[in-house]
Amino acid sequence: MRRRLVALLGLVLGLAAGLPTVVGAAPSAALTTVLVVSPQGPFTTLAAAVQAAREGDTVEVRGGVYRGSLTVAKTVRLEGVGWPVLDGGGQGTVVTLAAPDIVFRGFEVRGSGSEPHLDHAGITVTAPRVVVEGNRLRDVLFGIFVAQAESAVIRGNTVTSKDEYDLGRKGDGLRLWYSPRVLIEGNTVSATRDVVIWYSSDVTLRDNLVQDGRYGVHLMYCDRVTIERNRLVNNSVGIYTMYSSGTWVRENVIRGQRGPSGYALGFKDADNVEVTHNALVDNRVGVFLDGTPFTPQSYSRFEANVLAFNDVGVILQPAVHNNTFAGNAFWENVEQVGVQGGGQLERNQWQGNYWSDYTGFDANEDGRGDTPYHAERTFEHLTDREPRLRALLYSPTVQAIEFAAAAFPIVRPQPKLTDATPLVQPPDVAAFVQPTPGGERLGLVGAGLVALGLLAGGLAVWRRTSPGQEGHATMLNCLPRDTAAAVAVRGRGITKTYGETQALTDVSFEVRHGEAVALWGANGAGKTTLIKALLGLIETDGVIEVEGQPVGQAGKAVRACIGYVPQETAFYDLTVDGTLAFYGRLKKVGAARRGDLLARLGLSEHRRKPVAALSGGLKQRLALALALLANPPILLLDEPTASLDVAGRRDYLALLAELRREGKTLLFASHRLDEVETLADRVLILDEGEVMAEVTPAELRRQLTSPVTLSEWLTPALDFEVE
Amino acid sequence: MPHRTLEWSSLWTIAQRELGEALRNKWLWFYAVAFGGLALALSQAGVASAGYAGLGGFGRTAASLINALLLFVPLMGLSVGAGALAADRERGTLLYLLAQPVSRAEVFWGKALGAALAVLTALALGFGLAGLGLAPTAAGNVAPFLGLAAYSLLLAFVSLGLGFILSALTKRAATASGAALLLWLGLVFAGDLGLIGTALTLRPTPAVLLTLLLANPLQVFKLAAIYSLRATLDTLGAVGQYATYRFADQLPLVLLALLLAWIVVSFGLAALLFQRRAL
Repeated sequence: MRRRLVALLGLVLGLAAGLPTVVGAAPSAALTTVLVVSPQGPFTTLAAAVQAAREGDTVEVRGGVYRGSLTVAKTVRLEGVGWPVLDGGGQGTVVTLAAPDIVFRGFEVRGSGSEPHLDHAGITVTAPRVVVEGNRLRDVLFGIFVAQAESAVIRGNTVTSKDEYDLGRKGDGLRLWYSPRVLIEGNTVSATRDVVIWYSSDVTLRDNLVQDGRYGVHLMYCDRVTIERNRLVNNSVGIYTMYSSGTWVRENVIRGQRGPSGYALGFKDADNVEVTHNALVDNRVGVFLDGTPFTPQSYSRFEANVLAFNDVGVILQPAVHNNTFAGNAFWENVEQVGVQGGGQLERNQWQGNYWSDYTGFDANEDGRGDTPYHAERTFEHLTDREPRLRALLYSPTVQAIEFAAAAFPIVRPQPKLTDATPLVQPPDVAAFVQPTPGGERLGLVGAGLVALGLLAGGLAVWRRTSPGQEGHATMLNCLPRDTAAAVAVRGRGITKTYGETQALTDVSFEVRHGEAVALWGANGAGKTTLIKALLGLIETDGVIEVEGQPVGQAGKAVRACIGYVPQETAFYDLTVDGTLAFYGRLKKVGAARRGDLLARLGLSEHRRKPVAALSGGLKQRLALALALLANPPILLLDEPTASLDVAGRRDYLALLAELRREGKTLLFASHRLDEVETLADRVLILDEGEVMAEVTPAELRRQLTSPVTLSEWLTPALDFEVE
Repeated sequence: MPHRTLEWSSLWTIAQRELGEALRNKWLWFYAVAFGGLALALSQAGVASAGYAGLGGFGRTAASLINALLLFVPLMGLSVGAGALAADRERGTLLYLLAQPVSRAEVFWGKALGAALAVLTALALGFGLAGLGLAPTAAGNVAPFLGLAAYSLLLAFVSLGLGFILSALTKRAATASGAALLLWLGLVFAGDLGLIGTALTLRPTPAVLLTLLLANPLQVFKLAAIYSLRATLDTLGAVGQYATYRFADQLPLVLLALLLAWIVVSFGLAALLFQRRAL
């Protein structure tokens, strides 16, 4: 009772408020009235205002939120001012426009129900000639549903669906059902399922933006449909037409359709198709044709379109025929034209298109190539047969296959199509195609990368100079386990086998501090193997200790006690200074120590020379300098004078003798008696990996120079005996 | 002070020497200049096409760039890696170096770090020059460009690690280089040809094909590079779609993890071989 009184009061006040705003006479001479709805009144509900309105009146809604669903069953104009909100509260359809010629404009509509089988929508139109214009729809399952209502105008609306559902569960942004002669213009439909037009002929879609949905536009059983100047972006499929005749698609931009099929344009069993001046860019497939044109007397024409950067420009079913492709630009599609399942397309017309992979020429400069364009890429042929091979796209193997096919035409497939008059220049692109934004400080990034490269390369010469490193030596010192021990090197039962070769057999020996011991033996006796074992470079059986430290466990510490001079010097491609600096850094030896050694070993004047330019003697001196860098107590030399001439050997031995006098322990391999006599206290005689004897140098000389009698019959005057 | 097995100062000294030697290697600069020039030329071609239609995209020019990377980067990494140990072993410098108070681990990782820095230098300069060349045209996006550069670096490290394995196994530089070339051919061509044969005869499921693809680090790089340029793999057909479906948003992480795993495993195996192999 109280509600009725309020409604009556509202009606009276509304009429009172409306009287001063009576607008001019209607054509029928009847006055139209403006009924105002706002939270402050005079009407506070739309239902009341609509109920109060007469046919032809205007209901102006000024802001506010109005809950519940609204059904308008009389011809009125509903005008929102300041975006009034109609909130369905999650129940059913929010607004139903059920009378002819209703105009519904300027509202925010939200909160429909969520039942797809009940077509819960933001706005449902069920009467002819309704205009739905400039509304915002959000959080609605379906957007605008035109059901069996002809000649509607759906213009300038913004539609989004319910965020919580995935695409398949959302409703359609726009849906036409048995609704002919509808104009859909200037709408923005985002993240809804489809724009569906079924059983509705003579429909026009113009200047709409459909994005992030499933089907940008889905036509079924619709004849004479015009689709022009729309933008379809990032949908699963762009425009898909089925069982329709008369589809005119022109000046649309269709970009980024990348669903499972990803067609920018798809036609199934469609007749009389005209597709002109569209830009089909960066889709999985530019155009897909299946059974189109469907009837023999119909046509299908694709002219002056740009098909660019798609995975496949055009895909046709093998049986498709009677299509004409003329004046299109096929630009950098990964595959320009594909045949699903393989085959040729000779029953379609390909004339005067631009192909970015055309390699012919235009000698007569008529703008047409003088040799035909053939689509005959071998890998495409393979992917047409087995689409999963697309996984190998962008691999060099693909180029290798094409190269092989070019070299051996016998393996080249039959061309899928031939364009006898290809364009040599691409046609101009229509101005409506917006360029891709680009150029984000790439120069800065390039400069940064160059700087990074220079920095990384510069690390090769970067040195952290510190007093400890360069000024004063803090050498990597030998750390004897027992400083009072008399033995510098001890070996017990050293055995080494390479495969079936016994390199060392049960070798045992000791070298005391300050002693010089020679390893004597022929080539292959095992001297070098023993030296490698002492350095911890090979694993052996038995025990080896250097300064009381086991070589096997403390190889690095052991090597800090040993200065090693190899038989054959092997240096990096550096100068004398550079070589000393490199090994000096490994041993943490400063510049002063390096300078001293250079001077002592007579290398100062050669310090800037590349090592490769040094004589053999100087290289051997450098090796000794390197061995002495960290002033180790033990020197291990492997035939140190083997590569020196007589004078060089004499000088080198003098150096070693001096070092011995200074207290260095020397263990060296040799097979030169003079060397042994000059340096050694004792000699270990090795033969086939075994220690055969331990002798003094004098004993060695005696063994080597024991009397030998040579007898020879000579002339009587020269007859003599040699001892 | 005890002598530690892995001491940074020794490792870094060896790395610096290795880097210096690698930078004196004309082949490295050939790779850098050739790659930079190629990237620039291909990118310019891409710009030209974008300029035509104002449409940018991922066509054959971008494919060519990935193709070039797949050819150049592994070749560079494998050849630098293959020479790193074998050449030293052949000329005797490795034995002499190991006779110094350094550990094998310091020698190996020092050489690996030096070689990695050399490869980084070459790639950064190559990509940097390409970026500078493209700057006046102000085309191309920064993020995909950087993504491509980063994934190329990872691929270079993978191939470097594989090269080190070969180097650790061989005594002569020529043998190592030959083996590297064979491995390169195998990774670039033979594997793919086998995959084509498998796909045409056995018609495996996309899951199986994807698994086979991911077994090849070059293909992992390819997938990662395409993803960085496109944010999807659907351009690769059913296998790409399956990868996107299977891993969803985790896909770039999976690809990144695979490349990193290849790096860790290859260098780890090479280090193990080097540690155990007699000189």
